[in-house]
Amino acid sequence: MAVNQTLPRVNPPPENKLHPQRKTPFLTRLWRDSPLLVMVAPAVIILLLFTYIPLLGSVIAFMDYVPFLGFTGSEWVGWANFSSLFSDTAFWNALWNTAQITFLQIVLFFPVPIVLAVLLNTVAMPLAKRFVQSVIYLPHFLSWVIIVALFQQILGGNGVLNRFLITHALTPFEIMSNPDAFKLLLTTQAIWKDAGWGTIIFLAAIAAINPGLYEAATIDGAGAWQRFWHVTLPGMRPIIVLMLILRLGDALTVGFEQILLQRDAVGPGAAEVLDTFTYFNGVVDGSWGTATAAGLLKGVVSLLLVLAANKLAHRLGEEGVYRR
Amino acid sequence: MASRIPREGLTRRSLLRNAGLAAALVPIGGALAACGSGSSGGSTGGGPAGGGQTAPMPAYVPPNKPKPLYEGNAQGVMDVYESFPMDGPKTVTGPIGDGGDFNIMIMTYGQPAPPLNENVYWQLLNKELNLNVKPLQVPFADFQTKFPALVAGDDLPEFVSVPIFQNISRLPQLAEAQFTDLSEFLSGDAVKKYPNLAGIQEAGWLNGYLNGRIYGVPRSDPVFTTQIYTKTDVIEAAGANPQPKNLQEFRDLAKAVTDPKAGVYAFGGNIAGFLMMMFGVPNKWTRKSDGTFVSAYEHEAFVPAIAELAALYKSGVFHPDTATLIGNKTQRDSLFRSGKLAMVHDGNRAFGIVADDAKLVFDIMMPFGKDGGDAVHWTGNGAYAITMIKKTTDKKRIDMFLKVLDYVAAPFGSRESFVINYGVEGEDYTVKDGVAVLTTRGQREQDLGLAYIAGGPQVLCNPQGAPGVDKLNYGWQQKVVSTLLDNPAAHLYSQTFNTKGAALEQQMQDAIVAVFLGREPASSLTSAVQKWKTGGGDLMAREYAEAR
Repeated sequence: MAVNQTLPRVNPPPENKLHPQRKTPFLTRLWRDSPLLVMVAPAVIILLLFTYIPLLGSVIAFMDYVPFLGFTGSEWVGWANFSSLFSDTAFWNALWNTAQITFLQIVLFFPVPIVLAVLLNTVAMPLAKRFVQSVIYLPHFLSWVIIVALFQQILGGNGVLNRFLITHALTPFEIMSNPDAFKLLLTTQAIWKDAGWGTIIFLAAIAAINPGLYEAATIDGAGAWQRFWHVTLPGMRPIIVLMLILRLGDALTVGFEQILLQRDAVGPGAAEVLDTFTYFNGVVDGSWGTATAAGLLKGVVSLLLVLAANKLAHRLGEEGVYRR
Repeated sequence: MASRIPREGLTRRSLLRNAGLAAALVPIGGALAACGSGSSGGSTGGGPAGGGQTAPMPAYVPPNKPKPLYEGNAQGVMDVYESFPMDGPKTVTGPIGDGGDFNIMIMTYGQPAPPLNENVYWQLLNKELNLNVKPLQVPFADFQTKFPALVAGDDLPEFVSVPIFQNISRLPQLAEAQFTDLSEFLSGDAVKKYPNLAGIQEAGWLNGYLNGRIYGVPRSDPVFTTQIYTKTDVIEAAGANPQPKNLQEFRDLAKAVTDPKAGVYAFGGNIAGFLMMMFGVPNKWTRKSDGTFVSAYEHEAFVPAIAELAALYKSGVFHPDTATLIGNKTQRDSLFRSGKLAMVHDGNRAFGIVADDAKLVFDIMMPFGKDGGDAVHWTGNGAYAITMIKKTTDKKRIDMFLKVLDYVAAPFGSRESFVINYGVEGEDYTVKDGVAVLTTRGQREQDLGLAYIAGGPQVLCNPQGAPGVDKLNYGWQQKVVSTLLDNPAAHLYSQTFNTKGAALEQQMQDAIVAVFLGREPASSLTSAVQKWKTGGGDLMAREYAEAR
């Protein structure tokens, strides 16, 4: 396809501008990049303070850590926390629930903002477009407490829907407290809350596509569907892949607050995930060591997921998180 | 006000209303020689723990008390008073504080108290104590996360009051590492320097023993635990019998009051405890004649009791939001008040809250056995909370701390107790026909929570409630007191309970709720109990047998 071949030229690889020439001396580069470095410094400091330094605390995973005895006073137990973790059925249950929710969210949630963005892009009237955008962005700014309460008021055992059914002598639906439907419910809530917000980056990706391509495609006789398939989608592809990889990085973080708020309604059997397991074991029950071991394990699995996805992206000829 | 209502029992005011029950409450766990022989702190499902009581029990000097309307008894029935004496004797002499700050962590219920400049009750206490009381109020709902965070961050204030029922893990070790051993100031006759603390009985003090030493000053608790409050108007409207005599009549009552179209249901929370007592399940542990301990979860009546709970749920007498209401006492209480729940299962300590509202007419269900006859009634730990001071060698500071607690622990009828319970005349309370009655402002200002930090036995005195509420409770207590059942492991030390007890108990509670709500069959409890046993239950049984 002619359109396809023109793509790389229209979206020139930015390496020549961003990547320093190998020969330029370090100090020169430092001076040249100093404004950029200053700009990035606060983020780096935050990352160091709140991410890298706390990482050192992971040694707790190898200790029978008691907060008031501290790092020096707590007993070193080696891998004991991990072995007790692996022999705990509650941990495997949490892991399995996490995996199921992760899978559901990636399959059901991830494509929604892409589709929404594409649909929004087809809305010609700027006013209508902006209105729809505002409406779908709005739920992102509500906290989970409010969203869960809203769902409870509408779909709960005593909510609007079920009160209507009960007063009309119909069988009520068990939605909010049905363990079998819980994971779908979570995904639905997540889509309602954040799918709209997620469109922003994809809309930006669409906006970055050279309009000339569409014109060329139209001249070549491409219809709307062909323009989407051969221009829009390839243009969005690097962003989609990047977002997917980044998403995989925290895929195992499946919504702590959202789940914690609804865990009692369906019980830990259906609702315990790695994050809530860590919270209840560590903070509430005081088994900081085992909880940290679970957290560390989650971090390692997430890292592996990102690396694997990135590798796959490179295999498929995409840029991934970084360029090889 | 529903928002102030504490869960499974806390009470706001009647908790605070202590007075001298002349005789000791039943020593929970028994076998406690006053002079520190073998057993000591720690309990299952409840108390702090310590191994080997090496500090003698503080001496007990019964406080003077006004003559009650109805007399309590040594087994734990509480005295009833018509009104709070307004001209009681002073029990605290000499200066208390040094005018400095008094930073104390207190767990509270509901909203935070109004700020100092708008809170005349707080201002009065500051003046009385000659201190600048600065409470760190930890809401009940946040306690389980906030307290560990304060410990982990080394941010605990100088004085810390911890509720016993929160089952803080490794409390004895925490006490040893961070708090002051108060034994030399309280043990034996030393306590007589603080006469109101000497009025606290053994059942309360046992909770203050950690590692065999006295680290905490207790706030005593009634001996009774939980009960069912019935809303009279709802039950009358349904033409039902509010006092069933056996399980079948109980089922009939629940069915009769339930009206889904009107949104009225019999219950909205977990009533497993009530059913277990009805079925005769022991109080956490049984000590067999050979000295071994067997868990109540292994008792033959445990699974049938929970199966009955599940059957009741299935029959539709529970509120449709029960799954979420179980953990939300505030909402449950407001449903009870608005007549959407005919009954609530709550702590005896919660009595003060329902009795606060003159418009709320209620009754208390007399316990009964499954097939008629008596149920058992589990006793509690003997204390609601203990209050500790961070590690210090400054004897003046410790003395000041104990003087503050001495003031707060003043018995019913004393001037200090009146100040703590009623605050400022005209603002916090008004006098009607010679009876002091709290105003709404007074109730709000007391959310400060300072009155929770120490105290002896309490009395029943709710002049602001519906007429006869205290007599009602008194009658209930008289009936129930003969069926009290102690936990033989209470105040025994188990290292396993100490580190894993809370988590294991949570596992069992989750298993019970799963059966209750029909997510799992009753037979799943057998494997849950097995898991509990191998996960630490068996070890606990062994440790209790050894500690005994």
